This record gives sequence, C-alpha cells and structure tokens, in this order.
Amino acid sequence: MEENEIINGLTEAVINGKKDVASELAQKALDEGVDPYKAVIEGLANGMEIMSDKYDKKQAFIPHLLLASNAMYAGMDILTPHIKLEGADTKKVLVIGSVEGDVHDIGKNLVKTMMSAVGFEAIDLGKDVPIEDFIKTAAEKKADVVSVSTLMTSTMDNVGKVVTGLQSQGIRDKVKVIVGGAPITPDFAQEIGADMNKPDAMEAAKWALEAAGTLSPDRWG
Amino acid sequence: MDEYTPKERLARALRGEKVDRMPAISVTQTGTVEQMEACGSFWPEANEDANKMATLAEAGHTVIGFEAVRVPFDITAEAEFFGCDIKEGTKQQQPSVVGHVVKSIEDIDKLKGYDLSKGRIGVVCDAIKILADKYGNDLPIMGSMIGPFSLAQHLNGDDWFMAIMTDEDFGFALMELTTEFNIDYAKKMVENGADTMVIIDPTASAMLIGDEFYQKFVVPSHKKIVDAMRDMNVATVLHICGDTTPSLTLMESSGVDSISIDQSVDVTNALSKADHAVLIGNLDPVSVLWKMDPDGVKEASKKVLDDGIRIIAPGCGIVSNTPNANLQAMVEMAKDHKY
Repeated sequence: MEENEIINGLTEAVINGKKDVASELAQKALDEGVDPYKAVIEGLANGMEIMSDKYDKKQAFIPHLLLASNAMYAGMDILTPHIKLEGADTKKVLVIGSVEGDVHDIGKNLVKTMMSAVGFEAIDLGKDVPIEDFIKTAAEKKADVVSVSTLMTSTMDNVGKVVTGLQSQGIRDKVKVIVGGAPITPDFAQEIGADMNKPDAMEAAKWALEAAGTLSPDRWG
Repeated sequence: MDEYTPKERLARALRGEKVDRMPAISVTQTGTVEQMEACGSFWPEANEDANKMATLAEAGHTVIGFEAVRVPFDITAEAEFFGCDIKEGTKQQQPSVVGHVVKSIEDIDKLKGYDLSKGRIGVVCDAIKILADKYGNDLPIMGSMIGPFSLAQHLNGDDWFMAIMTDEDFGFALMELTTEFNIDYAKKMVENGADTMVIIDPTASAMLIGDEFYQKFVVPSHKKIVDAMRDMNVATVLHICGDTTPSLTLMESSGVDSISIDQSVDVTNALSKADHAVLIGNLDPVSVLWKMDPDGVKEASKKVLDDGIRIIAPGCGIVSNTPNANLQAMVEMAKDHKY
C-alpha cells in the first residue's frame, strides 16, 4: 500500500467512524514505515478536523463525532507510542475535566479529542472533578493548558474556583485557562479571570495550541 | 376582574386559544434557596418527600406569585426508578445521574413490568395529589418528566448517541420502553390531579443529533405521549435546550401544544418557524434572572414580550440562587401583558 493511500485511508476511517479500519491502517502505516507523526496529523487528525467542520455546518452531529473520535483514538493508540519527539518539540500538556458537581462529559470529551488532534497530550480528569485536582495535576504535570467545563448553571461558580485556586497556588501565569460548556459565555470567562471561552471544540483546540506557544518553556523551573 | 381562573387561562393559552392576559408561569423547575428559606422545605429532602416537595412547589405560587404549581425540581427520578446510580443533590444543586443500567436488548427486557408506586416516581405523584387537593380548582397543576430520548440516554449512557446510528434495533427497543414508561407515568400524574404535562427532553436536541435521527427516534415517541395526554384533556409543553430554531417545525410535528425555547433562540425568528405550537420562553436563567436586578429583568422581559413571545418564562431551569425579586419582576411583566 502506498503511503498516500494509508494516510487517506486513515482520514476516511475517522470520517466514517470506522474504528477497526483505523486500527488496521495504523498498524499498516507502522509496517510500511510511514512516519507515525505524519499518519496521526495528516491522516487521523485531518479526518477529525473535517468532521468538526461538518459539525459546524450541521452536516454531521454528535453521533458522527463520537464515532469519528473513537476511530481517531483507536488509530492513535497504535501510532502514538512510536512517535519520537525531541527537545523543544515535546508535546504540550493539557489538563481537562468537567468541574465538580457536573457529571456531563460529552462536550468535554469532544474538546479533548480536538486537543489530541492538534497534538496535545491530554490528561483527562473525567467528570465531577474536585477543584483541587485541577490545580494539583496542573502543577505535577507542568501543564500548558487547563480546560474546565460545565453544562450546568448550578456549577458555574466552581469553574471560577479553579481559576482562583490556580492563583492562590501561584501558578495561574504558568498555564493558559480555557473554560467552556453551554452556559459559559466570553463575558463569564473574563469575569472569573480565565483566558478564553470558545463556542466549539476545534476553535478551542486551535486557540489552545497557539496560546501554549506563548508560554515560556522554562516557566516551571 | 379577571375573566378566567389561572387554571382556565393557562389551559387556553397553551393551546393557542384567546385569553384575557398572559399567564405567569415557569414550565421549567421553580425551586430556589430563597423560596426554601421562606417555606422551610429544602433540597435535597424536597426531592424525596411528597409533603416537602409539595410545600416547596407551593412556594412558587405563594412566595413568587406564579399562577401554577409545578413538580418535581429535577429530571433524575425516572432514571433512578430504573436503577441508575444517582449523585445526591444539595441545597443548591439538583441530583445527577452517574450510573447507567442498559447495555443490551436483554437489559431492556429486564426493566419491563415496573411498579409506578415505587421510588420518587411515587413521591412526585403523591405531591401532585397534595397540591391538587389544595389548589386544583383554581391553579394549574403542572407535572413534569424527563422525555423519552433523554431517559434513554440516562439509561444507556453516552454510548446512546452512537447506538442510534450503529444499532437501530437496540435504539428502537429502548425508545419503546422509555416511551411506554413516559405514557404510564404521565397518566398516573394526571390521575393524581396534574392538568398540564411538561416534557423535558434536553438530549433530544436536533442540534445534537440532527433532524434525521430526531425524526426517526424522537417525533414518533413524543407523538404517542402527546396523543395520550390529549385523550385525557391535558395540555403538553415540550422543552429542549439549545438553539432549536431550525428544528421547530420538526418538534411541533409531534402535535405538542406548546414549545419552551431556550435563551439562545431568537424569538422573532422562532415565531416565523413555528406554525401551530405556542412558544414559551426565553429569559436567560443565568445572565438575566440570576445576575440582573429586577429593573434589568423587566427590561429583558419587555424585549421578549415585544418580540411576540406567547408566554414569558425562564429559558431553562431556574438557578437555585436566583433572587425572589427577579422572579417576581418577571411574574409582574407577564400579568401586565395583554395580547
């Protein structure tokens, strides 16, 4: 199989939400000596970006996105361990979770998928995450970006508490904070001292990658 | 003097019939901390005990001035009834569904043959009875339940979104169970004195699943519930979150009497899309009802009223920390409005 065929095949597998095909082609990419980084970015992640675009245009919906996401991760599970990064190329670290009190995580999972697609190492704390866990993990993992979400108006205050917690630990300036979820607005993000709120997952991921690039690599000492 | 009792007025207004003025109601949950403090009945106990539930529901009328009483305050009793794990709520926060019980068609079969007197389903019906005995002649008694698609999601977890695409037989089987349950439960609420039925089906948003899946899985199911209610002379309200503007035609094709729209919907635009359903909404429960002062609420209300909303109400569940004064301001605006 030609390299192009494999890469296009990976993209198609993600678009069609075919997990098994994605795994199979990822293995084939390794067998045929395709650069695994290229297979992830130009193959899998490209497919996810196309799906995100279709979602924005209302040509695809949550069922399609979830299936695409599963296919992308199936391929990444095989390819990522073989990607060698050097020095300044080390992966940017994302700490992500749905805030304490909120048990919804579809939106959070889609943000995580897009963040993974643009190259983040995503540390997923899951849902109903205690505020201190965001802060502790951000410090331990020397995070670049912290992403906090909620779907419920009743837990919006907890989103603010994560930002306050980062401040009181003195690490607010070492990370970029993005907040999201249905009730969150850019005004609310600003009010609580977060850096950004984006209406959709792909935009969030693109912003996060750029914002992480502005952080000093030596900031964690 | 008012031409109609609040009960008659709402019954007519929800069906698009002529009324003397706008009814003052909330079709979404009404419980707030200030009301709890005023009536002495607090979450989470008010979710579990019929007397406390009725007392807090009553506060919506006696403290705020809503011209209806409504129960319950959350949308988890149904999933709990079928055995899903629930994270208990607090004084400020509703309970949430955290565990799921259906993975296969066999699991669905195991859930059949339920007893509606059990659990919080029974509590809600008892609370309705208490409220109907006290207020049933005069005030609308609103029963509310989670809709069949969102209940299916609670039972199956997030895999549900993929199942409707990859395993249609399973998808239809689960919808059949939840729809039958919804009909049985709604009938029981009506037998206990409910005269208005609110279906909260947030996950069924066509924004999330697209028109094709909505048409296939949601419309037939809503239609069955609406038909069963119409046979009992009960008006129906459907609430779905998000910007539902493009899907209003599809939503009302179930025959539902009225649709509650969320704050992200543009009222003018929505009115041009909905053909027969009465539109209810859509004050922002966070940035307006919770965060503004009464003057701000009045101003925001005026805009929605000027846009032509048929019944002004919160666009989603009222936030528990919302001040009484803000809800009272909305009530005042509704009562002052003639069509």
